[in-house]
Amino acid sequence: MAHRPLADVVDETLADIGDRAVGLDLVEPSEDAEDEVIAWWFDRINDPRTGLHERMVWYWHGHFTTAIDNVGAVLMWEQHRLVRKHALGNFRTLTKAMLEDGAMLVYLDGDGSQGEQPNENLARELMELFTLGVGNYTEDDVKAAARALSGYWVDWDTAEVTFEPAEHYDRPIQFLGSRSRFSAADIADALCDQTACARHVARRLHRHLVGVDPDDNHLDRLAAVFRGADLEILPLVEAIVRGDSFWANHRSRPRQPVEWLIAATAALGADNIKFDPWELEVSGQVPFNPPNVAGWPEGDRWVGGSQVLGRISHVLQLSREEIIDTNIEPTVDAVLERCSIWDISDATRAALDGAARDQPEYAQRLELLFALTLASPEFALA
Amino acid sequence: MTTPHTLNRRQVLTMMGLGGGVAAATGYGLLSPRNNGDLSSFLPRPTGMFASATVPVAEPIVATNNIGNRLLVVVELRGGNDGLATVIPESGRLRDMRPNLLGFSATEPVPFADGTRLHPGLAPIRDRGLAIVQGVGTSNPDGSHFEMETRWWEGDGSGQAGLRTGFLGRLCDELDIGAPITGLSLGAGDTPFLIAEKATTVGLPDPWAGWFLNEVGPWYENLRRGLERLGADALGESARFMAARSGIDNTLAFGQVLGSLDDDDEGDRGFPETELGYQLGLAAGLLDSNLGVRVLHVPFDGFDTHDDQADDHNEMMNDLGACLAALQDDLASRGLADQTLIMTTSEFGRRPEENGSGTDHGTAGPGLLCGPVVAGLHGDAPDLNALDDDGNLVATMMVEEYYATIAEGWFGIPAASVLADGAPTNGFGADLFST
Repeated sequence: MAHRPLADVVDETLADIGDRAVGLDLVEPSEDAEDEVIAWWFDRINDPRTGLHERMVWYWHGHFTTAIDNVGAVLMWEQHRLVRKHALGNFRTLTKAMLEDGAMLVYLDGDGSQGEQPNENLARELMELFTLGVGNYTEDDVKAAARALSGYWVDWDTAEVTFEPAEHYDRPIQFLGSRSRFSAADIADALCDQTACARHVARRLHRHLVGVDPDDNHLDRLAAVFRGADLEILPLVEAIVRGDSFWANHRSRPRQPVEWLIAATAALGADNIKFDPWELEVSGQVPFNPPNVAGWPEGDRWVGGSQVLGRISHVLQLSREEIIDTNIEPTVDAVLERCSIWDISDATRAALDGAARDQPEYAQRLELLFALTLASPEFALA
Repeated sequence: MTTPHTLNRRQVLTMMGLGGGVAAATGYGLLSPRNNGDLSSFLPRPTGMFASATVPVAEPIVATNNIGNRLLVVVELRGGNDGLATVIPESGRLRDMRPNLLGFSATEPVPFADGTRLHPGLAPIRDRGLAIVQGVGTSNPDGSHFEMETRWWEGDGSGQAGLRTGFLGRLCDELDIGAPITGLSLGAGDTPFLIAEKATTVGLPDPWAGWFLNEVGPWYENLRRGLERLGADALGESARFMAARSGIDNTLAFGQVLGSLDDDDEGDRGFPETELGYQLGLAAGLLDSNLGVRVLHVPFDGFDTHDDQADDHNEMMNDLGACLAALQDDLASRGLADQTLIMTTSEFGRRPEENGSGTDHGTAGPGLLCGPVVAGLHGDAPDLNALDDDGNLVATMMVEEYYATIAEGWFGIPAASVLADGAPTNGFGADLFST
């Protein structure tokens, strides 16, 4: 097999970010359209016309988390349009938009929070998860920001967000070392101005795209690039994927279930397969329904036993439904090529060779080799 | 072409007990019993005190003397349970801070002990003997779910010890006698709570996904043999590869779990038809199986009640009380009541002062214990008139002390062997348990 230099592939990926609007006109969500909205997005992620842009829409959904179970399809869809608009835009703009987004306000209880007795949920997660990270703010900052973020009301039916000045805390607050009156946008500005913010976002995105945290030097570089670009997102993405750590950590990034499903069905020869949301739920990951406000976890969880269990079950059900392209030779090499594994370990190779020997019937061997190859560490790690 | 057995959505939903009251479907061969070899040497066995189908209500369960048979069920109330709406002090100060949230729409708290009342949903477990350890928390609380979850999972209230295993995992290491599975989590897959050094601990998601592990025939045997080879440790591989191989290896352990479930467990054993009821129903069957499970963990989500607390917390308390009572009755019918302790954890309690319709992140909260316990309140309630600078409760018992009570008092394991050096370990010891 001939392989192209990684740099060329990276160039191409950055040059063609994909069709941002593909299929957007297909959805007109109503309150009971949750399954449709989920299925629609899964199809977009699976659509070859989409690219880096779609990848970043996926990332931001996990970063600025909101769950459709809590907010419903109408609000979720409005937020999704917002994420699509800013996915490769500016982080500051995105943060400000999120603080006035109906789905976010409902999900983290900013909806109806009043200045005299504010709800702290949004303020805390905004700092802990979205912008600064633990250790870069105090409990008093949480309380102060909660006041500054008060005064918003969300209409669930229309997704309209209104600001009621009378419910907003408009006296000066002490926030991150300065004393002033703060609006929600002022809070976003103050957070984005912190050096911790660029570092936090760079670390999270690196972890997501590469699979591990950047070392301190690399994090310094990434944060400097991000700040130097006034928190424009594309330069940060570019610095991460062109960085040495990207290639050095090949196969240390666990594929999340949605990514795994798409890769696995493509390997089996079934590009246009539809999944019901409940099938995605069994896989452990439903677009628009992250488990909690921290989004989907990165790391070993996705290579754990419960994942392997569900994945093998899935492959066997697909083959039962005769999804496997039976023109593929039932040999280890042919299956590895279908699965884009060109750097197989000795141990996995030995396990697959053993299985090929064990299973004498030609017709049943392909299914066995697929099941084992798709369960292998090589396929679980991108 | 081999045609693996498959399931459809309806069967799955029915089996999960969420099918709108439809009786459990049978005939899809998923939970067929399977002989895993003779493991009788380390099987927990009933001592026969409560072998009847009903528990004598007002009478306390006396713990088995055979400490080597004792079992633990941990229900983790995820999101931060509001302890002040669980065990409610009769306090004017609390009434001032909770103008909207004290009292429950259609129900009233029920009497408990010493000027406290309980959420009415907990009456069923009060009536079966409920111990409450008050004010469990840490001396340097943090407001983050994720930080505090990690500290509770690791058994490190201060967050300073840098432990790499979970408290339940370390208990399993001490309890490990080479059983197929010593620690098991049900419902959400793997949990950091159960990370162990040497004991086998696994997290099982929806159990039906493992149907292929107990299918018969050469093809399935080849599949399992292949998985065994893929899951074996290989020299010189990265940590991520090792984790992936150990994940594959764990799937084979799931096969043993599923194979050990008795067909009887599919019937109506009185568990509520909720997610928690379903998982606790499985839990009872697995504790009664031949796997050697000593520690069983079930997460219960939804306690982050910033909003709509009156409705949401009420519903969860009702579910919790009904499910734990059903579990106790089921354990009694299996003859396991005197050897099983049930406890709750939660990453933090909630702020005494409400925010209008809910409560924000707080600090200390009560631990609930059911089974062979000395019923009533234990330890001191946090002082509602002496809140910390953030308006939160000051813990009167450290997480480690709560855990030390379980380790030493229940399992007879020295606290020092499962908690970090220098951790506070003044629990109640065996005094908390009814012997």
